[in-house]
Amino acid sequence: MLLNMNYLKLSLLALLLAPSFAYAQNDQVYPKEGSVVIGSVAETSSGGIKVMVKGKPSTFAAGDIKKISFDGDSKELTAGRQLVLDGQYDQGIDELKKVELDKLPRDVIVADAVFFNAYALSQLALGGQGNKQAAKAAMINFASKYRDSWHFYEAAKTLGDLSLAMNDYDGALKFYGALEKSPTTTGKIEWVYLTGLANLKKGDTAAAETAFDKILGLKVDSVDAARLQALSKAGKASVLGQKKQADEGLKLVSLLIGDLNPVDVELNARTYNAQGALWESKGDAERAIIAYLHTHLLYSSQSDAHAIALSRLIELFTKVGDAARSAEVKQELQQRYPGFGQ
Amino acid sequence: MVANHSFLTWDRLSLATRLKATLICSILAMIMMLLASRPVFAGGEPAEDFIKQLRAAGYHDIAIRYLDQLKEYPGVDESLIQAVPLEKANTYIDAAGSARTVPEIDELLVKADSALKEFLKNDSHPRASEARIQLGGLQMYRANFLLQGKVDEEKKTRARESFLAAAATYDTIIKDLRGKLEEMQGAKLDPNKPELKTLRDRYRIDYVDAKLKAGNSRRLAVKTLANPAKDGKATIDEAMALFKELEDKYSDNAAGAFALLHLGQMNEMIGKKKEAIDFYLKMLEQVDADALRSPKYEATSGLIRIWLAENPPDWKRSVERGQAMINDLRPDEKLTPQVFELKLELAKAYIAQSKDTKDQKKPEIAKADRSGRSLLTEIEKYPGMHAEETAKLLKELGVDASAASLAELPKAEKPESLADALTKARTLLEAISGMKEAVKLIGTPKDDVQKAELEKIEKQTKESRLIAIQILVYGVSMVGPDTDLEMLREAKYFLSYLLYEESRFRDAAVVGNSLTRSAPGTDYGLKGGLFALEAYRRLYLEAPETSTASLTDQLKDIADYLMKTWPDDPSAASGQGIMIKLALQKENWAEAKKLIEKMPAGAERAMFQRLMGQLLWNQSVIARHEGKDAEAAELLKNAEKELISGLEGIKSGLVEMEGMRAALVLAKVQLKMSEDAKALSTLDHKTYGPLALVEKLGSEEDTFKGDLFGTELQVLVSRMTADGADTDKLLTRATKSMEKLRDSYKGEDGQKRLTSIYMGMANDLKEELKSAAPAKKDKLIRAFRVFLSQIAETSKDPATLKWIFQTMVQLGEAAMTNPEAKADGLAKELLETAATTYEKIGSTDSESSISVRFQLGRTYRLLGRYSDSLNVFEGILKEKPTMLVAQVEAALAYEQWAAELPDHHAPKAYSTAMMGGRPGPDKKNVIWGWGRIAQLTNGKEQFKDMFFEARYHVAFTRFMSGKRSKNEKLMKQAIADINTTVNAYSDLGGPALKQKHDALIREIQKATNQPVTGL
Repeated sequence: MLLNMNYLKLSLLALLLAPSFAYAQNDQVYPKEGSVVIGSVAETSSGGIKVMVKGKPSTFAAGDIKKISFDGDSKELTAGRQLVLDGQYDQGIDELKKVELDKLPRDVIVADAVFFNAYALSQLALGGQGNKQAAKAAMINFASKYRDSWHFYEAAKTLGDLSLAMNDYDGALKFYGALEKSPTTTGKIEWVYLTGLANLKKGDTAAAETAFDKILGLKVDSVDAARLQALSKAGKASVLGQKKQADEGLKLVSLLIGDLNPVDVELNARTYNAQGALWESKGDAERAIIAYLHTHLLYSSQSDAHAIALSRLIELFTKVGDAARSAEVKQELQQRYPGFGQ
Repeated sequence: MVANHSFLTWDRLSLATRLKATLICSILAMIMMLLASRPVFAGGEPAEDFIKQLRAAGYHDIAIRYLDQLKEYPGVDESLIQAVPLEKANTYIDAAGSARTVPEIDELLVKADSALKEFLKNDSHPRASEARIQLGGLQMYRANFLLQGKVDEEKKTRARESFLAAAATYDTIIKDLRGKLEEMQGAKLDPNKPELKTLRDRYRIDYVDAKLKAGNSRRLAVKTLANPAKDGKATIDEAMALFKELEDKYSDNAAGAFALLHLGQMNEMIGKKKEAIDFYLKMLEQVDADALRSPKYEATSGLIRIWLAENPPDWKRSVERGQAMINDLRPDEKLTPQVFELKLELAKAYIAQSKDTKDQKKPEIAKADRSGRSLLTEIEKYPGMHAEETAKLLKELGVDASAASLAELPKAEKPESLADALTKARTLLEAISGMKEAVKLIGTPKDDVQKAELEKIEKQTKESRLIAIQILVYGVSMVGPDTDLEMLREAKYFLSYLLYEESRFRDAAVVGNSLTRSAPGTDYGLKGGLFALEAYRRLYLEAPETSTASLTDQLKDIADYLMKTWPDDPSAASGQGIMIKLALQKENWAEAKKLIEKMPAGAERAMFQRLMGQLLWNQSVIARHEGKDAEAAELLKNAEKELISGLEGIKSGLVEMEGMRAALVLAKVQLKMSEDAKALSTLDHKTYGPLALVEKLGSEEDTFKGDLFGTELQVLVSRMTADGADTDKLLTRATKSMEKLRDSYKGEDGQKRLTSIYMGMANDLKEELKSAAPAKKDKLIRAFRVFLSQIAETSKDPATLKWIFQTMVQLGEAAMTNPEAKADGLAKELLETAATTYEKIGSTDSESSISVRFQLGRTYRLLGRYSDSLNVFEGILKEKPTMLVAQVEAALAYEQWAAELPDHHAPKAYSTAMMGGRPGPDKKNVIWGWGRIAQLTNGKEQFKDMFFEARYHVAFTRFMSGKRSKNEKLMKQAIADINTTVNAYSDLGGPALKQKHDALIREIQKATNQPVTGL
């Protein structure tokens, strides 16, 4: 019996007011859009969750949930989860380490704690600050134990990202493949985009182009989907570079720059990296340097793209005879992304 | 009147400072222009940000290339494309600031010069006039730069050309501004546009400034000629005409005073000594003003030069004038080039005196000799224009300068070069650092041996520091044209640090200031600025209040400079922070607000807005306490505004304790402003709402938590009274809030604090009820009743129950329609719930404070539970017999009880109300009754009301006792009681009580069949 006297005392009024749903009324679901929903998380699956709100079921697709604060969360889990969501992975891991999993009252809470720990490890590794192999193992452990978690697709995407960062392109395609069954349209578009990205890195230009074109041909009606379309445009530009159609690629990049949203760091970093690659393919090292410097000086918070930009600058500065700057950039790459390229 | 003179002080600075200052002014102007011209984001290439970042990262060459290609990028603002040459000039100047060699700097300045000229070909561009000012500054900078170090004829010629180019630039500026001013002549200005008047005033100031600069650049140009009078006549005439015009038209302000100085200098230059003396003397007669102190030192130097050149040298007047000036020096002026120059000239005067043996006694000659040498050794150790001549004079006097200046200091070897000085200083700094570590390790000395060891280390540290200072002072004086600027900056950085460590704050500030001004945009520049800032701050803290004005100006100056030069660096913003804190300390809200608004949007500014908001809240509390309601309301409004802006500046996930406190204060402000919905939103805000964060951040501060949950509770209660409020939902939340509140206060002390919070809330509620409109009052009471009853049912916590009890009593009393009568209706229900709640506390009753028990006794009385009431009051009065309010309540309980008793008991009860009851062990009544209350309050001003009230009740109870026992004599005695009071105090304590007495006497008269005449 979980209801102890103390809890009874605490919930007395709530019991009086809504006796049939007194126990788990305190799970708080934070959707990506809209206000917090308080209820009882009754079911979870990879596709989403079912919440009982005042006795009535309400469903949320996995991609539409920002976070859930569970009734029964430990203080450390609440803090750790929030820190991870805020991108403070190191501190998040420190908090999550303190969580005593066997003392958490519900499996769904345990799954959440395991996921956020694996996710934080992965993000650190992707930013060059941690061991990718260990992060991957942690995320696989989560995905295999909690297949019914609403974090499943996010786990699959993260595993794809890690594989890609480890140059395991087929592995990345396999993990990204899971997103095909994503419950949201945006999730499905993201699957196609990520497939394109993995193929681009793999060197399968044709497959990458097909994927990006597929997205570019869609009529989209959401901000997230439109953003994926813009990212695909940057991807397509890179494809054109690889196909030796740099001029066409540069036109595409110009369109993206003309529409640039200064706060979309990821898109901008990828756009200027694509521009850098296109100038490189045209043999114009100096313009390529300017393009990569955009990523380096303005969008360095997009770790993966920043690391790529730095690595390209090392080569390009050497090429134009600026050994001192090449050494400076190399030092920065090694300091900020010690695991880059490994 | 001296106004806006800062722009006129250009050539008061040392050559080196002038060089750097021009560069800085140019860069600052550019930064300002960049900021001013920044467009609102509308997509496209982020050109301005990228250029800025390229410059900051030192990619100047790439920035130039990028600017060349700028047109190729989509979405770049057309005005920026047109300003490409200007941006290139900015980039060249920025590059010159970090260049290391003289030829490199010169080349960059030449490029900047031509880029600016190219830009100015399009003089219709909105930034054209700013570019012209910038060009003039740059040309002056370049000319001065060429005159640094060893100067040959070729360098002089180039410098002259640059000065003359600057003169031409300033002439263009004058022409441009004259045109603008003519267009804006008084009559043409639209009176509805005050900004036009401000602009016109600005133009006027710029116009005068440009004239002064146009004259001065000419003066400096002819100064480079071997024979100015002969070879530079036309230029001299032009300069003289400009200065003369300024002297004539602006004789009452700083521009006119500066013109006098320059006229003196020009005449001295061309050998017109008499005219020069006249101008110098006229300048020295100008008003005492800070801005004119430095030019007065220059004018005095000029006079001494002329007098000493006479035959025989007029040393007497020179010494008199010069020494008087030196005696009046301020500490912060001692290291300025103008003072070095004056000291050098004065030293020459003393030397001349020492050589004049005629009519002088030996001691006077010796004293003059000592004074001259002393002045020379004093200034010898500092670099500057005076250094070469000083060293030469000392040599002629046979003085070993290094030995003289270092006599009292630990011995330091003179370095061979700046590089050598730096190497030696670094070694010493490492040793100092090691010694500091050793001091830390020893900590507090445990015995004499350790104490001696510590003293030894501290002495060595100090000696090392003093040696390092000397070495660095030598080092920086060895600067030449090929000096590595980075090395010089490092040396100055170490020097400012060491001087600061030595608590020589004034010197540290001077060196730090010089470093920061000479190295804008560099790391050392920033560090130097921060040392200067900190040193000024220390001086400010140590200075008496009467002399902080000039330090405040200096602090402001350096803080502004740091902010403008390193706009994105948070440590640079700390300067502004110091200024803001000073303003806040002085409660100068307007100034603080102005300074905060000047900060760039970002975390720092937001933090200060939050700080200001919290201080305004505190101020509003004080104002309200002092009864200044309108002021308090205004302060609240401003506090809300600042707090909202400040909190909006917090980025998600970056909230710390300070932010949470600010959010809590905002909720309090909003609650006070009856904006309870907003207050709740603040507490729940997704980014900075402290309710969620306090759990996430695991705040250990129970006091904060208690305050937070207490406020949440107040807000929730207030929300319950709103139209359409979901009372059930709010109630559920309030219950949780109570639980959290209790968890925040554990242990005995915690319980006491909790009780105090509850009491505070109960009082607040009472206050709110007092002013609430009837409809709201009723709603407030009913909502509270539901809330409190339910909490009471679920809680066994004594503090909570006591709070509920007290609140119920407050509510009950507020709901009473007739405060004199027994409670009925809603009031009765509330008071009954209160009593029941109190009874639930049970065994803890004895722990209740007297005030809580007093309320219980009163509650029982109002409910008609007189026996219970008297029991409670008896208990209280046994502990504290002199508690008058309890005595009154007890007497009232007897009296009201008597009214309900049958006739055979009533007279006795009335009598007890009057005479007292419940005898104690000493047989004296614990409850005094009205008679004794009146007796003991009689003649005491502070209990005046209570006395008259008691006297009334004496009469009333006697009358009622007689009436109920049908004893007419007793009834009539009541009339005597009233008359006794009237005879002693005819006003009977005021109209209300008089009326009450009158009504009573009429009733008695009627009851005893007497004519009803009243008092």
